[in-house]
Amino acid sequence: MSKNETVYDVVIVGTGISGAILAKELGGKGYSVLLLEAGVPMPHGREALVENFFLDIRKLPESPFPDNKFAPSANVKDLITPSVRDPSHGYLDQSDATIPFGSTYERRAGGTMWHWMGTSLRFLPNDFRMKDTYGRGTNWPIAYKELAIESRREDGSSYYDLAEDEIGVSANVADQTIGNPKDGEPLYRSSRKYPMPAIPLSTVDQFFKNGVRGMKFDGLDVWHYATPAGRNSRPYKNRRACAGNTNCVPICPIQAKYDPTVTLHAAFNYRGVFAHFQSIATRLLVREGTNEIDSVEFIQYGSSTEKSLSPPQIARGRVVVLAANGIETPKLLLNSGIGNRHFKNGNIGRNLMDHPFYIRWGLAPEKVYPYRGPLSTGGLDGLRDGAFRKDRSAFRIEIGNDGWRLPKSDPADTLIDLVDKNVFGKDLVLQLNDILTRQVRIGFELEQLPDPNNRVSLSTHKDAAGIPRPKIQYSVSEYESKGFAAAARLTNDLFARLGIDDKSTNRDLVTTKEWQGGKYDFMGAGHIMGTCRMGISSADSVVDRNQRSHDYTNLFIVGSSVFPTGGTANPTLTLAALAFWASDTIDAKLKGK
Amino acid sequence: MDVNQREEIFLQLSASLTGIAVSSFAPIDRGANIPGQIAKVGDLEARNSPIRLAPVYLQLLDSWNDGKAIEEALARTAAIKAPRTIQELINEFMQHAELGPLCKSIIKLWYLGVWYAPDQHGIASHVVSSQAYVESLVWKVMQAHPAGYSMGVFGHWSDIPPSLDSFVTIVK
Repeated sequence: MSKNETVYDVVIVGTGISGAILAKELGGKGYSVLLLEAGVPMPHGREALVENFFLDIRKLPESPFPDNKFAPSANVKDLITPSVRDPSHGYLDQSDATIPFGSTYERRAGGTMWHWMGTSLRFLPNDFRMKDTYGRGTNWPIAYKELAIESRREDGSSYYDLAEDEIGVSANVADQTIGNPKDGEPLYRSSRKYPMPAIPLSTVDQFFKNGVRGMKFDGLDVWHYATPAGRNSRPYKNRRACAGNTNCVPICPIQAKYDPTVTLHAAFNYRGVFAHFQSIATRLLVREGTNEIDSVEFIQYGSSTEKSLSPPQIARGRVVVLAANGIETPKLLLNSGIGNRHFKNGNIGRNLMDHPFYIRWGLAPEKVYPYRGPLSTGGLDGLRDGAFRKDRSAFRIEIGNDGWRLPKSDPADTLIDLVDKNVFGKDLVLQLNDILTRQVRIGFELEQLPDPNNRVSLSTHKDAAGIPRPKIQYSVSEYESKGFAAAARLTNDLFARLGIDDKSTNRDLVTTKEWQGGKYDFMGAGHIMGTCRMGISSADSVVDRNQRSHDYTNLFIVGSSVFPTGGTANPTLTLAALAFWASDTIDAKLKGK
Repeated sequence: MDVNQREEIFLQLSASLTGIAVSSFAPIDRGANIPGQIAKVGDLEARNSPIRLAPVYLQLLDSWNDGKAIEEALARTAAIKAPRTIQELINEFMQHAELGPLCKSIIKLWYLGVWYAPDQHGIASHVVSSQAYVESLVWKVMQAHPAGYSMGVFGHWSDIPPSLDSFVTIVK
């Protein structure tokens, strides 16, 4: 093992948004920071990635991003093959999963947010106290107001404000407070304005917005709202306004959508911030006789096609931060426990959650012109909170601007269907135009309760670098199944009200839940949460309310793996807000406070 | 048939199959608002030629089954005389064991930029090129733009798009 005596103030594993925010915040305060990234560095431009997308017939979330032999990751290709449960195949070992885990990620500088949608919703106050309010799940050890209202900077910014400003969120506060606060609790600081005005609603949104006026579901008001988005509605921080490429997932060709390379570039402007790319963290090493992490062991590779792994090296930090993701972070912790007495916290890797994503689609009675604008610009709200959460999952409803791209790989499938029925010439043009301009699709993101049996552990199968691959156990419970049933019922009401011809069919996905006679195809939302959750003590959690390990005083874990419950909001904004919180805690620790 | 005649007949057949006039095979030129990031698609001058993809597609068709089927389809298209219409001829092709699948592959090439070998029954082999993808017709027929290649301005998605005939000229 090579000796390296450099001691950084902070060593961060992972360069997604959490790692990037920590590097920028702490680098800006003059600390020395070393980032370790298992994947490839930031590209000089995105032309080659866009070209990869154009040329991949499958148009999957991972299409732009080349496979990396030494830093493999969960991907959709593995899920759409019959061998999804064969542990010698693919990356995740899903041989014991009741239902395969459907979310995927990228291991590369900037992380999975290269292909995030951009949705930047805040959680709701009750999301932080599910146990107290509804007797379900668990409480967070922090309250909504600590993220949303309390001042954390001289200008009064809250952690949510800081996250929204860093990402560059386009939204109007007034749109986001319709119907809230039900219990009088403020959702925003009184002077709060988003950094940019809302993204204009698509023609598809306008159809739904007009159609749901006055709609109720189980006594709850349903209304349409513009989704807060990490996409520019005007030039912001040297990036241009959205041009409506309808391609937020898998890659915005003009970077009008935020991705963490923006924050990484800003971090690298500070002279104390360094990074090792193609550097796979393998283990955390504990300083003998203490409850402190001494260093991170890592190996490097020169090219992902050659056998060129370096011997193990060491990165020393006064503070160590794990910012990989909800699967890679627990994997690293568990791998650190092999052969020594450390990392025995039984909660590591448990309570894996996602937002099971249930979609329905149909033909509108009029032309609504999808396949234009950002992938989604609005949704239906009013269903994210209420007394029904005692009984079933809450959900948010996303309205797609991408026609049947998700359920049917359209527009290709509809074209092929018609052509194979011998339709050609003028008939083909008119029939295609009629179908494709009327396609609508909605998607429900369901809250999934924490369940200790849903977990990440270590497989006996190893990756090309010799590291155990993640093994997944996963299912959805009766609580979520009742949520699926409510979503299906709501769809029937909604489609009838709007005159939408329901074209949804079962797609025989590997991720299908059968429950009380219903069959619910769902997909992963890419929201990997809960595997190193925060709580009161090591008896029920891995980190405390400051995201510091209960067991090691200089170890921090950031990202959605610390979420005790998942709510219905896409996790990015909340985990970014928590990264700012962690940076303040680490700053205080390094100052000796 | 020399190369130019051959291409001309191929375009005539393609227009009748797709339902879209050859003039609409050219990419929509919206002037200077082409994203500079996508350099490989070609410069503006090259973009104005409607037939850049024709030789590429012909080459693929020639490579299938020794090129016999495409040769027969082109010869019969070239030989057509009034009062027979090309629609009648294509109806005949569609019932033919080899020419039917060939014609469907031609339609899929122009509409999607994807090569489906005629005997593979829907199993796609590959996207022909990024140029074929961004110029594929299906996006025009839905009055939209290729995913990942918008050329539109901010906010255009909140207005109804221009009419179908401003995207394509439909053959009679």
